[in-house]
Amino acid sequence: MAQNITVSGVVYDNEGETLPGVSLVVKGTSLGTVTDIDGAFRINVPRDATLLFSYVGFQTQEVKVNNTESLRVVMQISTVELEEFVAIAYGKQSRALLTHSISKVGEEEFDKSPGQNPLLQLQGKVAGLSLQVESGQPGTNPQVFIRGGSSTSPEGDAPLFIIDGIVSQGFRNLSDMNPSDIESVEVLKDAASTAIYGSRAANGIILIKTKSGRMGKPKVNFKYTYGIEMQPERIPLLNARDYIYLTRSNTTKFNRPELTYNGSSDQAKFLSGSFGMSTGNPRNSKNTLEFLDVYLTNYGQQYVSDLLENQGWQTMQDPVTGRQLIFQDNDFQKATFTNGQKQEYDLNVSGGNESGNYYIGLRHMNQDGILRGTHYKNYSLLFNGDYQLSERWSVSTKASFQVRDAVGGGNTNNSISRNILTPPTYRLYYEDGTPAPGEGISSFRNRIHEVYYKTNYDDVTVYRTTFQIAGRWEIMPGLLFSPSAYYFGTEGIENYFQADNETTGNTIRPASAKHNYDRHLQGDALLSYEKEIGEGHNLSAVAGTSYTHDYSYRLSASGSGSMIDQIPTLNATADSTQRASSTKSFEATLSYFGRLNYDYKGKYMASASLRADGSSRFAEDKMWGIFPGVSAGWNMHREEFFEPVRTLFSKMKWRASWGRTGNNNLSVANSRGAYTITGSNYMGRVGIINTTLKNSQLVWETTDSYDIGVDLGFFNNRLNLLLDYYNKLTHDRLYDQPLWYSTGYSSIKSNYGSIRNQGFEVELNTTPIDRKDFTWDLGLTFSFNRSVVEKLPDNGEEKNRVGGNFIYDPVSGELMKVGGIAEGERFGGRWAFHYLGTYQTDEEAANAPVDPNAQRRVKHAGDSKFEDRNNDGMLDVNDMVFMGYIRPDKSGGILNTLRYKSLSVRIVMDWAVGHVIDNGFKGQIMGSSRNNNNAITEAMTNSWQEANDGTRYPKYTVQSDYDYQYRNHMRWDNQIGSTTQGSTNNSLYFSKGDFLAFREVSLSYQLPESWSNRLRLSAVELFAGAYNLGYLKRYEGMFPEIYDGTDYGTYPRPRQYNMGARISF
Amino acid sequence: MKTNILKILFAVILLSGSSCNLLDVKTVSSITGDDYWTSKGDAESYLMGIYTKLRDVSNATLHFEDRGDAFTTGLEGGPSNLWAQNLNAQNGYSWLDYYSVIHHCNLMIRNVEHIPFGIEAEKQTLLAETHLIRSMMYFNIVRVWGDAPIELEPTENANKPKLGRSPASDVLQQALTDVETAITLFPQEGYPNGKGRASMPAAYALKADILLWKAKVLNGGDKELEEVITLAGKASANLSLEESFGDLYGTKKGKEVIFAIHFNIFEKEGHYSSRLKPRDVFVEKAVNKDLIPFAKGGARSTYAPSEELMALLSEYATDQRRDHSYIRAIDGEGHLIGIFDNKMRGTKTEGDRSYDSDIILYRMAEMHLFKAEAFAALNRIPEAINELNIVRNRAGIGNYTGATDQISVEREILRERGRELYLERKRWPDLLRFHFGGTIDIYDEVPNLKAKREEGSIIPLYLAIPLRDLDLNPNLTQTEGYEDL
Repeated sequence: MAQNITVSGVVYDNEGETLPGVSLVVKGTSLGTVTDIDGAFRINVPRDATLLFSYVGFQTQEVKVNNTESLRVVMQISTVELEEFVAIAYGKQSRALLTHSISKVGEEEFDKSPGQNPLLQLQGKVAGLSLQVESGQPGTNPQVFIRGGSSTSPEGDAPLFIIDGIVSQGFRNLSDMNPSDIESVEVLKDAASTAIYGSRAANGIILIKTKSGRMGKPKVNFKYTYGIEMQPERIPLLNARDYIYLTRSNTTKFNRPELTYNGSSDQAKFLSGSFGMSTGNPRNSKNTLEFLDVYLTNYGQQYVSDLLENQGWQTMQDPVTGRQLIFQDNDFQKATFTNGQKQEYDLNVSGGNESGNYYIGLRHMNQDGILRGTHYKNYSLLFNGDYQLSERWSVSTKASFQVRDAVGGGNTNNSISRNILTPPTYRLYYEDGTPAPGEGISSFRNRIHEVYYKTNYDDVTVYRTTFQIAGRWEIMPGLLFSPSAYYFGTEGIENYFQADNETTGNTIRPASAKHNYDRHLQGDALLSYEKEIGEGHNLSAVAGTSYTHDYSYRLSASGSGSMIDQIPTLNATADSTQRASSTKSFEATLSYFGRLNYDYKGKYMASASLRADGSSRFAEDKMWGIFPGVSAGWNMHREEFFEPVRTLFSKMKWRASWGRTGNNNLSVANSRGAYTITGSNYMGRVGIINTTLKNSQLVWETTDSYDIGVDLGFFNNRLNLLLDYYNKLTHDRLYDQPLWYSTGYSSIKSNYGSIRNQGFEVELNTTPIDRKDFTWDLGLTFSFNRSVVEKLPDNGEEKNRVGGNFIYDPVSGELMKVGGIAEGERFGGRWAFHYLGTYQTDEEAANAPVDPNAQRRVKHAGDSKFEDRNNDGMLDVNDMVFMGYIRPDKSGGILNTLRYKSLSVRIVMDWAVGHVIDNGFKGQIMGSSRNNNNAITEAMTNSWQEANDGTRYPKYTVQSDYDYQYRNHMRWDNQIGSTTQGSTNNSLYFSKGDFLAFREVSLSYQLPESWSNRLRLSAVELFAGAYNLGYLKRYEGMFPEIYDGTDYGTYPRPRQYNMGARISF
Repeated sequence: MKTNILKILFAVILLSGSSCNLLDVKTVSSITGDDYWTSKGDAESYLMGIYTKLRDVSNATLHFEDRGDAFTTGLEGGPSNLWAQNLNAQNGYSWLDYYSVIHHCNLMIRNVEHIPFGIEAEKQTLLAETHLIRSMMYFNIVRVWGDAPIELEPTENANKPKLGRSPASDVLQQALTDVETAITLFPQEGYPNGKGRASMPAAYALKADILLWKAKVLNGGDKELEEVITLAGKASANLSLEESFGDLYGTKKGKEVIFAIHFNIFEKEGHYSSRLKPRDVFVEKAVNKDLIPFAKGGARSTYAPSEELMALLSEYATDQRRDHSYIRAIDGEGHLIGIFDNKMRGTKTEGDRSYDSDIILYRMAEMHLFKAEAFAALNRIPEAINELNIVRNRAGIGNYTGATDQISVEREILRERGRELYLERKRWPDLLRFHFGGTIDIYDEVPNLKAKREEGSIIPLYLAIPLRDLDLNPNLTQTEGYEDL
């Protein structure tokens, strides 16, 4: 046991100032203390101890005691890796001095991302950011909104995206960007940080910074990734044998005249008509089902034997006639989905010296979608260069070029939810091997047929070009002038054609083409000043102006009637069929802004900003909006009195902010009225009509919000916690105010009512295990948001409710109005008819309430039994019950990084709770919505067949539940249910949407340096990962990430597997 | 140093000085409200816009066929609640589309005043057409909803007065005033702009229709009936009946037509008659497939001709109209596959069939039937039979030989209208007119109304208005009769 000595000393920063609050511990023990207000410390330690000094924003220092009793320790300001700098509007700031609510996502999240869209990587990693993926099509932009958005349909409240300074609403300049080129993504959430962007900042801002070169010799990274995407889960559809059995036997059982609403029966229509379960199909027709004896008589034994032995045909006994049936079993799900493969090559070169630096990124990727025939190809090039021109002048340039060649699935509702449901008795291929169309409808058909005749001709290419040049002029120390100019252009060229096939109708070989061009010009000028005034007073100021000008051009043309398939362009179409149209539109914004940041010794911080924005979208006298923001912060842990708790709390920073932001989410037409060309001619002449009502009184929608937050660090910042509470009030909402119908319009854009969003967010980062060879980093995010309508214009209704309807309230026994939007209420509520089960006997059904929805059809055994809540003998809106809200109010993410030596493993999960989903897809299937669709296993095993059979679902009728007004599955919305396509408004199909998604499990292995050096490489990394592995969920459908209330068969997010290698030299 | 800063400040000021111009962007491909209504071309283009909207609102069976007795359910798709008479206060029907056309007419009437036209007659024609279309809209509204707001000013903002429902008689009077204005404004008789545009004869026909309604539904009298006879005659000037009934929809705006909405595949798709036509798959096994007007796309036999209609058309073996009105699809074993409309067959194209029949609003045969109806109502039976016979003889069923008392003849006129004008969007208003005129009890005639009455519900003859509208405009009241539904 070594003898102890008492060591005392003083800790200084790199500028010679004493540093209070520095923690020091004896290495390998928990023994430690903290420096006092004068930076001094005193500690009793073993003579040979090593002391570890640490302080936020500084590099950790190791000092050996070596019998020294008096120490002078100088802490070095940490580099970017250690002291986190955060990009803020028009600048960057040390995290320690930040007074705003900003979340940062670093490059490690984009390095090996499987997604084709970098935004997908944000899911679960930023508290308060909601990300919604509507389609699994590669390259699709997700819907993103921050802190509940600012409207009653927040899906559309996309934040402002700013990539290296270029401002654009929506995803235009983010689409097709190479994720590996991203250095960081900052999500600016509170209004004080966004107010300096004024207009359009109401929905938050996402700042994206691309990589630039660093000092040093050229560094080259090359990465190759191979990936596979697959359909996450197969829908349990029936095979042909089960389908035939179920549909034919149920037709005789349930399609009887006394069971239908119009008292007529048409069993023959189903049994021998033109449906999937109908017989009477000759050889090589679209459907394969026929009686075996007919085939034998007509085509002979040899033909039939060949079908059965070599073509996969089968026979079975017809449950209706007892005769033998012959048919082919075709898998339309397999015809629709496939495994998509991905190849990605990514190369970047960077470097720099005193006079400049550069970064060049090149990428090619080729990804096939899981929907057959879809793909996404991307080529991208990025060049970032900075040059020091003279002592005072430097210039930075950026050029990027992206090419996207993508073919999507078109109307995925048709190509997925309807294609897949084609009865399995339909052919996939004709006898000559060419694809058969399925039922033969052009809008949805056998996917193989669609790809062969149509999708294969799709030729859609988008070219995106960015140029920017920015100067930096150091007028005098601390005073900087930086002007910049930006050009961003997107050009899309689309060609479509359909070869001659039996599904095209009047338009034979339809061809069409589009040429879209969007141009964004932007000029910024920025003056910034930094100065330390007196002792410890730091001041920085920014003033600037910005102008943007957007132009968009659309040209489209179509034609048909070509005589040949070989020329898919419009020049081959018949003149008489050719139609063309072009449009141009412009808009502009002009802004002035300024910001002042102040701090005293890094303890007290304050910031104020102001922006004035003018937008051409408003009437001339309403163009300008003023958007202020203020914030303050206090680094309490740097105070003297904090000393006693410093061993536990290593950081405690308080933040508060208030700001006002705007939204100009309207078109020029709304403020000035629009007269547009009608969609069709009359007698060959062009018509014009007043399509949009003018509202010259429109003003900026504004959002006032405040945010209170605290940054906490525990145990020498081994555990960091960010807590935020926010409260946003959006008023003068730009909203389609409903008009009564005799005005001739259903709505007018108005400044209408206000909405409040409030909630809190938690971001936690910790290192639960920190050993030499093994570390575990854990990141958790949590957010809760509550959106409530605050105020609506007086309309004489209680709570000034707009929309909605009356339901029965069993507590009061009275009717009460619910739904729509109303003051003080959450929006997005859904009500549905309450399913109680099925009537087991006709006697029981005879007492059923009158059901206007079912055309007052007499109910029978096997029909749905819905609750007549008010017992008035009538099933109507009053009987609907509350199901829940369609959007989750709580969500979060869990991010684990485990490192063992040079192997690291990441496990990422995210979750959301609080929403309900109407499984419309299942409702459509169980309700046989088109009379002619395949069913799922539950239709066979779990729907009513006979009294008390314990089944969950009502009888499965081949006749469409909707068309034949059974209405056991699909019900009216009555203004308080969902109106979107496929909604059932039936509690049977509602379930909670709560889910935990296993988003990523990946690992990477860094080859030992000695090995890579032998290969003359500086680093070699191997990686592999699996993404979108699955869910823990209550919802029965495939995909619980549905926030619009109804699942009508979505293009699911594919499960992805990735592997690859990166080499650096 | 200071000079540099000054330079920058100067640049900033320069930028701000020009700010107004910088935000003044052009609208090129559409026109803002402030820039419209300056030239004759603006007004003429607007009129074409109104016609496209007129075509949209006229291209439906919902209000004027579904509730009648001519339809039964077809092979796919659900029938409307109007067909099923499944009506209550919860499922009111919006009149938005009609009022939208009215707004456009109001906007035109307001603005065209100040536009200089070289030739005054052109301006008058344009205004006459606009008034005639507005008249048609009010006439539609009064027949479907009864009482309704009378909007004569264009909608310019959300502060427009929230009008309550005026009595049906006032709404009809507005339709009458408008059509009379059109008659005064049209500078000439005949069809200078073709039969696809509103004309003086169209105005006569419409006015006759309105007056007949007034006489029978809204307590008009002999004066109106006599005027109907005169107007129907004037509307028929210089026209003659097609020799063969089958040619009527085989030609575009033939010699019998007074006013027909132009329909052309490249202007408009989805003709309303496609809802009584089969998709090709349904008739694949039909032995008479070649005769059936099926289509690959754009057909959906939601409705089929009803038993009642087929009985009417089968009353006379020689009736030419039967085979030109519906067709049965029969399979090889003699089973009936379905029954489809065969009147508006459209045009066979190379790849498919396009349903492009013009929507005939008024034609000469109906003028004879108007006269017959007016004569019968005036109890001038021989003259009524005389007019009836003109229509009967063209159809090949010879002179009327039945009872000649007033009620029998009126019933026969209604039946003849059913045969002649099937699917021409006349049936429901015809039934209403003869119901209110005392010839029939509509609750005995329309199967679904009858069934509802047997269940104890008397379904009102006018539609309910949507709850949404009652919420938004507190001055509106719900249509009578829906209190207990």
